[in-house]
Amino acid sequence: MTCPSDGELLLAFRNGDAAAFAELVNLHQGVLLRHARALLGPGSLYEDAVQEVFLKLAQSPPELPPEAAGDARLERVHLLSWLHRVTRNCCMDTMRAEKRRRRREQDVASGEAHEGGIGLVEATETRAVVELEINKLPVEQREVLVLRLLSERSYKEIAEITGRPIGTVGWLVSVGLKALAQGLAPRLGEGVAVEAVAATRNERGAPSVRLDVVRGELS
Amino acid sequence: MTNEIEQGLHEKLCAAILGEASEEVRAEVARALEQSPELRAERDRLEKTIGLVRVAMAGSESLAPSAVSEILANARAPRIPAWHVQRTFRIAAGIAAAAIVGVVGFRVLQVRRTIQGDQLAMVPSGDVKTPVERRMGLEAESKPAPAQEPALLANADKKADEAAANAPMDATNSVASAPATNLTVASLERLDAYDRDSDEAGKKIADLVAEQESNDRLRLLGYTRESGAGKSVLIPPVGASVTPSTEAGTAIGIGSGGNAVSFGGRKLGPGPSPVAGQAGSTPTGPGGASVPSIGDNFQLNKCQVGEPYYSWRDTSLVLNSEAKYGRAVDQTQDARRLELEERIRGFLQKSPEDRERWIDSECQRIITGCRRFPNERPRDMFFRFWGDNPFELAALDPLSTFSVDVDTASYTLARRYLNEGHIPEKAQVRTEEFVNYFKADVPAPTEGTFAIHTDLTPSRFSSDKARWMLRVVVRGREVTKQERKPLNLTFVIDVSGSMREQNRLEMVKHAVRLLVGELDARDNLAIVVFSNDARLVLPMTSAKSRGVIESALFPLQPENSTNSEAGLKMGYEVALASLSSIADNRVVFLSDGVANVGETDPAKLSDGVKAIREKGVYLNTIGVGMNNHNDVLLEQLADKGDGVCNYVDTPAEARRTIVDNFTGAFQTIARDVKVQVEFDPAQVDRYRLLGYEDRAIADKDFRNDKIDAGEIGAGHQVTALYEIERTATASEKSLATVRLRWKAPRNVNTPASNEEATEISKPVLASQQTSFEGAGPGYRRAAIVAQFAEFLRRSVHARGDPLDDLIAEAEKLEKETQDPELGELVVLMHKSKQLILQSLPDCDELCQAIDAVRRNQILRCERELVVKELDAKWVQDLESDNARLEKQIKDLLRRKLEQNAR
Repeated sequence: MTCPSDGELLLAFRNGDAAAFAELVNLHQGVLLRHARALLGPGSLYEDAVQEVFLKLAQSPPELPPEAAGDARLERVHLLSWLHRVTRNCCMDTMRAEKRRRRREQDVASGEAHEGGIGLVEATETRAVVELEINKLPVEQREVLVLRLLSERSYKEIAEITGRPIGTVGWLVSVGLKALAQGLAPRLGEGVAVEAVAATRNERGAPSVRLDVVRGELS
Repeated sequence: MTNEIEQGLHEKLCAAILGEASEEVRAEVARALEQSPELRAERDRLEKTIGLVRVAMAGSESLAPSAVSEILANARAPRIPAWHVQRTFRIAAGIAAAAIVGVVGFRVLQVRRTIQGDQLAMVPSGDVKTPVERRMGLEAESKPAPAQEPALLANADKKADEAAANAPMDATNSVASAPATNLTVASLERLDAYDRDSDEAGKKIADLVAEQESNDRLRLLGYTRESGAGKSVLIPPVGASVTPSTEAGTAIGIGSGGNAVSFGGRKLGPGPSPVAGQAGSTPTGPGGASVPSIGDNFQLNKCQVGEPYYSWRDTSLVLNSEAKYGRAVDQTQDARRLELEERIRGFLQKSPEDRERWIDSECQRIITGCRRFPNERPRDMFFRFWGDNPFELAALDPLSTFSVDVDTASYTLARRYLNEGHIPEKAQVRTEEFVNYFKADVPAPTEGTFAIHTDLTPSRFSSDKARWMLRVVVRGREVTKQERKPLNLTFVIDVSGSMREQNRLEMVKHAVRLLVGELDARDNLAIVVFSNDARLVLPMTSAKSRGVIESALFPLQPENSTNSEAGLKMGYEVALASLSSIADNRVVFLSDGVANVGETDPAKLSDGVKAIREKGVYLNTIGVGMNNHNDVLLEQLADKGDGVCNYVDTPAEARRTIVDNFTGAFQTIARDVKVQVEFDPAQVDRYRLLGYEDRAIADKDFRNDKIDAGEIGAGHQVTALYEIERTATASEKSLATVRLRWKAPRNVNTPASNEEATEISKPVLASQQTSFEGAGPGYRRAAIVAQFAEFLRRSVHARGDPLDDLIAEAEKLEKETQDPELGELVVLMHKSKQLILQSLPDCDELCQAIDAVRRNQILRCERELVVKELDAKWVQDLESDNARLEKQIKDLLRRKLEQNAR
């Protein structure tokens, strides 16, 4: 109740107020980071992508449609929609560039270490387990679920952001949730079955990784 | 199992769970759910999954703090300058550049004015103009003067240079000023950018004009900008001034230092190391869909104040155990002990020398923790150690000052917890709210606003039979339904997903219907609902239009997340828009209190409430549901909004709160009500206030009318209980004097500065003392309820008291009075007896030794303050006792290690 709306912040920023920009970054970085991370996976790439998004915001702030002016809710919907779209584009660019880079690197090194650290995690923490399961999903399901569950965007907004029909969004949510429920089944009971998860993974012969190292990577 | 569910139906189910389904789809899913157990199982699974994901992934990431400045620096940094400016676009470019200058910095203008002289003759020269007006001046100049284009362009460039160098962001962030050459390129590049689309440049200017208008609007709304160290924020309209809210902080005792009472009441207390990452200790619902909020941390940290048992949390043996026990484990003694054993086990693998070193350092740490902090008062030490109000020396501090509290949510909530087989957390048990839950038993004043009653009997439940108990009751005048002021109510209803659980939303609707039933043609109401965002479902409507109200209320359905901030904001907008000077303007916030979108910090949310309260809008909060009922948030909101916080768990409780206590909750008769009891040190040696831990006010602020305090509604009574130790010298003079100070309820039109406070007082005479049995039933009930609360609080003062004795006394009184509410309490006591006994900390030898050291330190501190010159012999005895205790602690630590080795 104390905060200026997104529109007011944008306006203030256009008027040269850097603090208003900082406030915008502050307000929206969380959901964008999640979105980018869903697309690019853990690492440092997603943070760069989000920085790029805010750079775009700083360079050419979007015009909010006139019908949204003065309505804080609509302003937020429109701005977030814009931000998520730009995030998506930035991530897509990064992914394309990454693919090229990886291909070059993989030509040089043998394919040994490119599974990514996250697949080898000895999961001992709920967050890590959940993150692991989310990361197992195909990227389009992952993106939609993160936008819906963690960024609290509606199906309609997600459809706008991803450029997919709303029916497809519903389908992706359904399929993704199903897979996630399956993957997280051992965690859904009251008891914390962390060790069990870790054990099954070790049986499969995955090398255990030092926890602190992994945690560093995750954050 | 999932394969049996058809994909289309599964999608609909997901949509329904996530609040995305239309009315028909929801109905369809509901029908299917009724028929198919598989589908129900799948729904539960999905709900749990969603809950787990939300809980596990809660807490958002953020970019590095320097990111913003980097972004801004990059945004202004040169890119590859593709500079092919066509002559025809130059005019537009010049205008655009001028516009940029306006955007980036007005300060330059003043500088340029002196340098450029005639060239800028058209620049307005008024010194009192605002930045925006100055900028507009520049636009006025640049638009009609295309003929000056080359010069202007040159100027624009120079101005852009300086503008960039002087940009206001430099003031706030550490953006290095780029070299001048780069800046030229930068400005050229900007020209280039605008050149590419001259239409856009024109549009920008039009926008700037529009911006100026809306910027003025912003200012009219009262937003100002305030920059602090490295950060600047938009400040909302604050009515009178900002100061009251900061002072309020001290008033309810969250401030510290100086003379202010430094109880860590609602904030992080000075207890052992705060346990980050321990969120989510509040019992989660069966669906696991509760989301840990900052409020949970709050409660947790509050619990850290004055832990009864020596905390092992911050021993040097911590081996990343937070991760292990971090999320799911409840903060019980058992868990703590388990954790301790775990740590010790890990530690035993170390060498004997390491162990000795650890014992030494551990012992030192304990002893240091027991020492007095610089300038710490004995009562603050006590609170730091045990989290309860201490017995205070009347000679040292004869004044006890606190703000009234008429909330009762703590009792209702604790009752619910106990009935469900949980023990509430210490911080959730507020003794004063327990006592005040039970109806008034003293007559309302026939004239004047308040009457003060006092009773004095021997303290029934104290282990020390020489103690006395003083009850102070303040009773407000009654206001009949005919007399009451008209009401302008704005309901702000939480329709988030969590309200689906246990039919919370239906309970809210029930509460609103009951309330509407109490209203009549004088009153108006509006309804705002919020989930992800807020929306107005019923504009201000006369309360007699029942049909219209019901048709707005009926279709409400739970959906999405909880943006309490948006809800409150819109609620206040609606309330302010229809602010009436003859009516009592009030927002009624109904929620299960778990904010998870927008601002979620109770402290920040309630700061905003305070600001709007100054404009004449009260805030009541009604909590529903229980699993993740965020008591802290709702209590703080109501506190800052000068309203009442109630917790409603059953239709019966809703009736009691809303119908029976209608005028009490909705007719404020006095504001900023403060109580001060002054004890006569000649007759009272020590005294202890039960409850009101987070309502303490600095003694000197009793007559400071700027200090915010609690409100009292019609017919409310406020009870305070003191346990006192009397000196041997009996006297006919008064033992103590009770003073009450308050302000009349503010009319919307009354200026804040022009208000008179009223003060009344009443002496407590030794001659009025009676036996416990001889005191009225209301007094005895208060003593019983307070003792029950002390048990639930695991209070150090109730340690060792027999619970059976309390229950017997309660039963006796219940037989005598046939009071149904007391009967309910007796049932509750029986039911939760085992639970309470289990929850009491068993103080082992180590714990006792540490308590002994603490007591010695407090004793010494008191002596130092009272007699100044300490008796050398006395000090020596104390020191040797401390040395003995230190050795004992080391031995006990060693023994613990050895025990655990086996």
